[in-house]
Amino acid sequence: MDPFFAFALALHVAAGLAGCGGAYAAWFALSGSTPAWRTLWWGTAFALVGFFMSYASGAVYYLSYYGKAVKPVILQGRFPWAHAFAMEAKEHLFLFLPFVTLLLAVAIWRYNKLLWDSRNIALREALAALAGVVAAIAFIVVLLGVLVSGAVR
Amino acid sequence: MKPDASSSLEQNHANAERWVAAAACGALFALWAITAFTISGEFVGGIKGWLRAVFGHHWVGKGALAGIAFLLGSGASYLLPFQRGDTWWVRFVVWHTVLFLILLLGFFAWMGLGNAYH
Repeated sequence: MDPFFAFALALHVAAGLAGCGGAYAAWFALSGSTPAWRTLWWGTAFALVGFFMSYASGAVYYLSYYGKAVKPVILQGRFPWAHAFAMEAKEHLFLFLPFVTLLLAVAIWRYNKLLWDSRNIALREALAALAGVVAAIAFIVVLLGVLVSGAVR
Repeated sequence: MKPDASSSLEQNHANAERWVAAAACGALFALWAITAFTISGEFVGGIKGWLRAVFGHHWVGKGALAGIAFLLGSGASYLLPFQRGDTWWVRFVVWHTVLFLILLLGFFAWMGLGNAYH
C-alpha cells in the first residue's frame, strides 16, 4: 500500500477511535450528578473533531484505494458479506455521527455550566442519552470495521 | 435601565434553548436525508448515479446533502408552527437515531447478505 493511503487509513482508524472514546467520556460526564466539566468538554471536542477527521481521511482512503484494491479482494474471497453488509452498513451509519455530535457540542457550548442547574436535569438526561447513542453507534462502526479488516486477511 | 443578573441569566437560558432546538432540528433533517437517500438510492434508479455524477461518489454526496439538510433544518426550526422545548427536540433526535440505526442495520443485512449469497 502507498504510504499516503496507509497514513489516511491509520488516521481514519485513530480519529474514529478518539471520537468513540470522546463520546463515551461525554456520556460518562453527563450521567454523573456532579459536574465533570473537563471530561465533558474534552470528550465532546474529541468526538466532534475525531468524527470529522475520520470522515475526511476515510473518504480519501475509501474513494482512492479501497474501491480499486480492497473491495474486489473481499467480494471474491470467502466473506463477501464483509463488504456487502459490514462495509455498507458501516459507511452509512458513520454519516449519522458528525451531525448528532454537532448537536451535543452546540448544547454544551451554549448551556455551559447552566447544564447542572436544577431546572435543566431533564435536558442533561436527554443529552446523556444522546451521547450514549453516539458512543454505541461509534462502537458498532468500529466492530464492523474490524470485520472488514479481517475479511481482507 | 441596566438589566439585573437574574434577567441576564434568563436571557442566556432562552438563547441556549433556541440554539439547541435549532441544532436538534438540523440533526433531525440530516438523519432523514441520510436514511432517505440511502434506502431510496437502492430502489430508485438514477439517484446513486446522480450523486456520483455531482459529488464524485454516492457516499460523499449523502454526506454533503446531510450537511445542507442540517443547515436547512436549523433555519426551519424558526419557521415551524409549533413551539417545543429543547429537551423535547433532543429526545426526538435520540429516538430517531435509534430507529434509523435499526432500520439501516436491518436494511443492509437484508440487502447485503442477499447480494452476497444469491
